[in-house]
Amino acid sequence: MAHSIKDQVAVIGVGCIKFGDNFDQGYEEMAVEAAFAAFNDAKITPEEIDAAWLGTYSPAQGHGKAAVSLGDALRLYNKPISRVENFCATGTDAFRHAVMAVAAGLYDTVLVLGVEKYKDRPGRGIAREGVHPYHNDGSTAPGLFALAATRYMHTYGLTRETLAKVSVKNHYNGSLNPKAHLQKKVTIEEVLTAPIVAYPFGLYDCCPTTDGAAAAIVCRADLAKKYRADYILVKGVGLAVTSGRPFMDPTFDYLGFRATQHAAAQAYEMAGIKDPLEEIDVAEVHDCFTWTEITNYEDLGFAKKGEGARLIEEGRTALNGDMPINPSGGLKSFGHPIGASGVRMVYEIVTQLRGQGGPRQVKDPKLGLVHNVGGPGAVSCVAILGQP
Amino acid sequence: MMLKDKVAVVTGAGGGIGRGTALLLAKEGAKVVVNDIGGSAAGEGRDTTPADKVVAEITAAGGTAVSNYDSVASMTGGEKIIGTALEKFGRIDIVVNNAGILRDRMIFNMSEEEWDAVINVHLKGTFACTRAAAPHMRQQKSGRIINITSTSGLIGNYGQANYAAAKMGIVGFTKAVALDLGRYGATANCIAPFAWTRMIGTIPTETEAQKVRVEKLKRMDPALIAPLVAFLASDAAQEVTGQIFGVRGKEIILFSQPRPIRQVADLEGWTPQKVAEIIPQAFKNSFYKLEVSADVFPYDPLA
Repeated sequence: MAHSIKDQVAVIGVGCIKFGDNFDQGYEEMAVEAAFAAFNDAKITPEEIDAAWLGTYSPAQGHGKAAVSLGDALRLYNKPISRVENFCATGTDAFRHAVMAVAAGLYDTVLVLGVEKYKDRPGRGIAREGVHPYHNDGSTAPGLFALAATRYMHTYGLTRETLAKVSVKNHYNGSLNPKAHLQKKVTIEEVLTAPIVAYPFGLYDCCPTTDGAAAAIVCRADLAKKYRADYILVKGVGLAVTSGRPFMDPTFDYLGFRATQHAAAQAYEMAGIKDPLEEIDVAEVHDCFTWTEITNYEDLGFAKKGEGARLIEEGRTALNGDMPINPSGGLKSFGHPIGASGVRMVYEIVTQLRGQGGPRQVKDPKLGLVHNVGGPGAVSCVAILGQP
Repeated sequence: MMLKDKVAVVTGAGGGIGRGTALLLAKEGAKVVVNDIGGSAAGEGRDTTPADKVVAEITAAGGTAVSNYDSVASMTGGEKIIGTALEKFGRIDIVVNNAGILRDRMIFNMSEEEWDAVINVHLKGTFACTRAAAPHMRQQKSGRIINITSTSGLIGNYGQANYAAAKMGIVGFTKAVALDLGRYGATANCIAPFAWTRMIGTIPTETEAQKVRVEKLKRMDPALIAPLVAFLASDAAQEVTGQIFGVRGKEIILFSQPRPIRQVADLEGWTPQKVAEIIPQAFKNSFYKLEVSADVFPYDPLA
């Protein structure tokens, strides 16, 4: 690899708002709350920020459009700010940009902000109007992931019961998390008998539609200890873009996403990780739908392709398992305000590594992983964080 | 000459937009039936002069045209109007449903007669002429229906419940006709014109602001609508159908058409209480303001 940035960048502050039906908060209010939570966590003032990256997927005028939406919201002017958009990987990619900028030596202290408004704005829920005469039928997120899920179920014998266990686990974790949109436990029975959204996904197999914002502050690793003793280091980042038209690719098997595999491989190489299941202690992975979490286990190298179900069946990915996944409650509990999700995952992994997870704290984590995949499947971003 | 050998009917062509259209279609080579009952802007009275004058203008410029004085507001009228084209020119290619009157009244005062008159001329008239021409267009596998709608319907206006209903009816009608005639190679489109004509020429000019506004509106020559009509009437527009256009001075506008823009599902089932809790807050940023055409088009026309 050209240049590893392992241990060159530290995370010194994180912030996350309550995710949910935030009708009484506009885009800017959420941006301010998340950013200032991070400033306060790092004990810095906005003036100390050298640069910023904003992740928002669905911009509108005055609302996630270009860098001005961060500049105006935070009154952060005359600074280098960019907006990033990369489907569901938007937030983690914004984080990756900030990390690269610090590692490149351009800036000492950089803000990452992910903000998304979905509950009172267009952008989710309408079957897409598009140009292809038949590829647009059912072309919604649940519809598209359902195609892969049914193929996977046919090939590997995965059942709805196993998918339901993913939902039960993540709902349980979310019930312990005061910032989650959904904080209610569900039973397997409830998941299996819920109305179907797009087979095999019922209501509780799908993440909700949510407003949210989260922020992180990164700085040069050698400067981190002047901010705090318990800074966290960035061990590796990876990003991969594959085709946005996988249905046109005869080698695409609908059983997983090459983007995740490649992004993870990059991040593992940078972090020097050879056996992800062994070496990674906690992970936030992209569970937009219950099936996606299972395929993520495999694409991230925690299990062989087709064997991801075992990890959930054996309880290994539960909070008290040996490989806790989505201790926050995941997208299942937090929804997927796209620009915010990846940054929220950074917040969670940093919180876990600092030992501040409270009732959802996992045991002694040293290395944590953040993962998003979107497009569907066209892009994935992975970040690995760890104790110094 | 984009319309050589085509036969066109333009209703309400004795003045305003209709006259401008008839003149340009003839200039582009079409043989034109100039229809006008020669009534007032409210549709009263009869006079053959307006139609005859336009025919004379066309002929003097080297074009071909004949008059027709029938009212569009009946099935027989429509048959006779289209019949004139068939009888004098042997075919019918283009129908521009432009005839229109106004009977403005606030809804709480509007009479049945005011409602019927406006619906009959605009909406029924558009149906009657289209209905008479459609079998011919179907048979010859070509044809053009061009209807006139209005931003009073598309956006809104005061005191025009009858006019707005008729003009939005024309929008729905145009789409239905485009679908019905689509497989036979004929097209149907509508245009919302902005133009200073007799029909709208009664805007109040009491205040200074109103006077200034009206002076600007007067710059919108009705003849500026015609080039889009002539294009839609031509073979070059074969693939253009079911659209809602606007012409405002030198601007040509394409209007959106209603499609779902927001959606919320409650798979457990809605109750009035849940609707009250979620829908207003979730949809409020996408609701449309109650506004009139001038709110959406506040800028000076490019004229």
